[in-house]
This record gives sequence, C-alpha cells and structure tokens, in this order.
Amino acid sequence: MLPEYFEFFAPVKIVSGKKAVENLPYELDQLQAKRPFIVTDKGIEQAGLIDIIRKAMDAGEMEIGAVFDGTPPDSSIAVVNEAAKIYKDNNCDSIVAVGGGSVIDTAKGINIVITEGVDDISKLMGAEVLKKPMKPFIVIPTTAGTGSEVTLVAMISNPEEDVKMPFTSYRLFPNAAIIDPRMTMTMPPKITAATGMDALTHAIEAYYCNQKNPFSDAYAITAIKMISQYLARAVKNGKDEEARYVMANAATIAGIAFSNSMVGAIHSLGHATGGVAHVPHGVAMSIFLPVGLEYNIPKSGKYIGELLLYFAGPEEYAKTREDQRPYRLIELINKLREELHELSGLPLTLKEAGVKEDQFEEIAEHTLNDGALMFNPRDLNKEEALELVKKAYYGK
Amino acid sequence: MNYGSNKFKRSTVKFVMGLLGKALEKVSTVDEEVRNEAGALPDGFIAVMTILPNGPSMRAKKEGDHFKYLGTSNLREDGDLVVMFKNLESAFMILTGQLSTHRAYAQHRVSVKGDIVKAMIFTRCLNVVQAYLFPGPLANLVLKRKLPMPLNRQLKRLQVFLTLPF
Repeated sequence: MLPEYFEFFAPVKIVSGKKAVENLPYELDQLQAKRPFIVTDKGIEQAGLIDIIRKAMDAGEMEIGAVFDGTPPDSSIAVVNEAAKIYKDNNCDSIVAVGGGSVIDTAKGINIVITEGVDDISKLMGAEVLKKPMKPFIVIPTTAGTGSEVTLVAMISNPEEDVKMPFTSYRLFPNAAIIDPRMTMTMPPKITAATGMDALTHAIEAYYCNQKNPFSDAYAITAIKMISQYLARAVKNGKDEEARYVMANAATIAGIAFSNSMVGAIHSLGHATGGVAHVPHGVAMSIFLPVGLEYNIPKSGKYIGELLLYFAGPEEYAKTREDQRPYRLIELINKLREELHELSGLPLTLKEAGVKEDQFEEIAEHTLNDGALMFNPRDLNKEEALELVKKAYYGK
Repeated sequence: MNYGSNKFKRSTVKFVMGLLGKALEKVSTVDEEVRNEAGALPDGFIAVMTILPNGPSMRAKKEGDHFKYLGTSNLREDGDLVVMFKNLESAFMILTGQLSTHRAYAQHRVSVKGDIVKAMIFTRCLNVVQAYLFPGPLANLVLKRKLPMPLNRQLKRLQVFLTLPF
C-alpha cells in the first residue's frame, strides 16, 4: 500500500481564480521585491497578455524593471545568458515568468545565472548543485500543461549537442504560481490540446512510476479526473471559461504530482524526440502516451488499470474485467487523441509530427540517457526504445 | 548511540566501494557493453561515489575506452560526476544489495552532482558491474533487468573474479 520510504514537497503558493493576476504586486511585495524582470515571448506580448500584467502592476503602484520577450519555443543556454544580462543591466530584483514551459524554464535559468553569479548556465548543470537562495520568483502560466510553475526542474536546450539539459534543485521552486483563467484564454486549439496531453501524461506517469506515493497519487488522480472531463471542451471552445479554469488548475495539480513522483519512459522518449527532431513536448507526449503505457503494462498493469476509474468513471471501470482495464484505458486515451486530432489537428504519429526515419536511432540513443528513465518501472534498452519510436511513428 | 555499528558500516561501505571500483576497472577492460558506454565519456572524466557528509569515497577515471580505479579515501571527494549517498545508512543498504540503485534514486537516498546524461551512462556501467559481481538471485533483486550471461560473458566474469584481488 505504502512505499517503504518517500518524500513529498510542495512549497509553491497557489493563487488561483478570477482576476488572480491583480494580486501580483501584493505577492511581489510579500517577497520584498520592487523591480521585477518580466520574462515572456513575442506571441504572449502580441496576444495582449503582458498588458494585463502592466495594468495590474500600475494599479499596485509597482514598476516593472524590464520585459524580455525573446524566449524561443525551445529555451536555450544562449537565451538564458542573454536575458540574464538584461536583468542585470536594468537593476531588477525579482523575476516574473509569463508564459508556457519554455518561458518558465528560461526564467528559472535566468534565476540560476543571477543568483550564482556565473556568466554561463552550463557550468551549473545537474541535480542539487545550486546552493544560494534564489531571487523572488513568481510564475503566471499561459498554457495549461507543463506544470513547471510548481516544479523544481528546468529543462534547457543545448542546441550544439541536440539535448535538453535538466537542472534540478529545491531552490528552483517558484515562490508563487498565479493561475488566472484569462491568461490561457488566447491559447490556440492545437496548443491547448498538446499542453493538456502533457499535463495528462504528467499525472498518469506520476501515478505508476517508481516514486509514486500516497500524496502524489492524490494529486495525480485529481488531475486525471479534471483533464478527462475538460480537455476536449477547452479545445472545442477556447472561450469556455470554466473549461479553461479547470484545465489551468489541473495542469498545476499534475505538476505537483510529478514533481514528487518523477515521470518515466514516456517523458524520456519525448525529451529525446524534442531534442533530436524538435517535436513540441506536448505533441510528443500525446503520441508516446499510449505507446509507453502499453510498454509498462507487464510491470505496472495494476496501477495503469486503476486509472480507468478516474479517467472514465465508475461505470466503465466496473464493467471492464480487471485484466482488461489497462488496455481499455489506452483505448479511451486513443479515442481522446483522435477527438483532439479532429478538433485541432494534433498529430497522432511521429510521422505526422515531422520526424524523419533517419532520426530514429538518435532518438533511441538519447532516450536512454534521459534522467527520467531511472524512474520508469520497466527497464528500456536501445532496441526496445527503437521499437517504441517506430510504433509511435507508424501509429501501430 | 551505537558508534561500533557505525564503524562497522563505514568499513563495510568503504570496502564494497573499493570492490566496485576495482571491478569497474576490470569489467570495463573485458566487457564490450561497458567499453562502449565508457567510450561516450570524455577522457580524464572522474566519477566519484561518496557518502555525505564527509566520506568515505571511491574515485574512478575514464582512460581510453575503460575506467581506471583511483582508490578509496576517508574523505568527501569531488569529481566531474559525484554520486552522493545522503547518509551512511542509505549507503550501507545500497552497497550491501538491500536496496537497488533505481529504488535508491526513487527514494531520494542518492543525489547526483554533474551532467545527468553522464550519470545515466555511469549508472548503466555500474549495473553491468553489479551483474558480474553479484550471484544471480541477488543481481535479479538489485537490477531492473537480468543481464544476459552467455558463455563468453561467463568466462569474462570468471576472469574478473580471478584478477579482482590484484
């Protein structure tokens, strides 16, 4: 029932709900910050979301130190180093990330560079390397997926080696996450679908991988219930405020789950595919989720089967034979993927996502070197990784 | 407080780390899988296993296509990759085969400093070394997957055992 030993840590204050962004100056003041550095990307600025922040800061009579909107879709070492320089040049004293995974991870990277006083973030790669207390850091997610607003991890690309480098430290947790449904309303359907599938994968892997514990289970189950009921609704109608609000919270809840019960092979495959073929993370998650679940049935079929209850409800669960539950869950996840494909064009296979056959080998190799693999219940070697990549490519 | 028990555990973990280090050197010279893995690490790369807060430690260096065992010490050592057991008790459980490496990571009993990609490579090398060292049933408990042991590998295993004391 219980693992013989586990740890759980969820230190991020959650500020969630209608007009939550208006609390930003108050939250910064609580952290004794006066000149925040806003990290975002051009799409978010163009969508008018930074104006919401500016108005909230004006009303709170607090000055913005600088706005950096140069975050690319894949956060990289060079961007982090460049943004850290702008932070210093503008005498900022805190960081506010407004965006999706790449923006949040870039902001975490900037915080590392500023706090540790280095000029190059790659000098600080690894787990538990960071020792100094970080600058005040608040995250306002504009996608509902990465969960990075409540995690201790920053994934930053090293384009020279085609890999995503993980930085993990308890010091990387933001001080607060502000979840405001207005901030995800402008997200296009395809990104809503992809990021939602990312959140679902976080919750599902957290539930059956090696670090599972009763606390992370509670978060994972809650997130799975919310996502299964609201993801398609949010994709179908982006103006559905209730669906947006539920999905934004579900992603954060799934983030807490996987921050305390690390994800496994599905993420390793996704990170590798992102690094080698530049497939967006959420798209890769959606494609690898059924493939990775099936692979893990021999070791974790019991836990995967249990998820049918939370994904499909008690009736579906009761009418499905126990040994068939994991397979039924995969069927229903595939049904959701097909629905999202029709609604938003979310790719169903790696082929549709633009991966080339000559990239298979490299993806398989990178998969084995991804840290998340350590937490997968079933071991994976290169041949098996290659098989899973092929399955995800051809869709069978 | 039972200082005698701690002394015993310290001596045991230091001995086992030394054994692992020597075996890493021997296995990496005979086993193709470990040689291939080691080949991906930069020359001169130093891997350290240490017990927090102040040791003991074991160090190994990548040279050519294999590892060279650099010995154990009673101090906390540094390197390019440092696998840190958070306390003596955790180190004792892991190094005496009571807790597998992957479970140890899942239970936060080990912390890693350095490049995670290289940590994964080093862990895979150690998995093979453990499969060489431990008898089948223990290896099955400690490792996620049984290492295939065809005849030529069995012979290499014998070779490692025969040369290990030297």
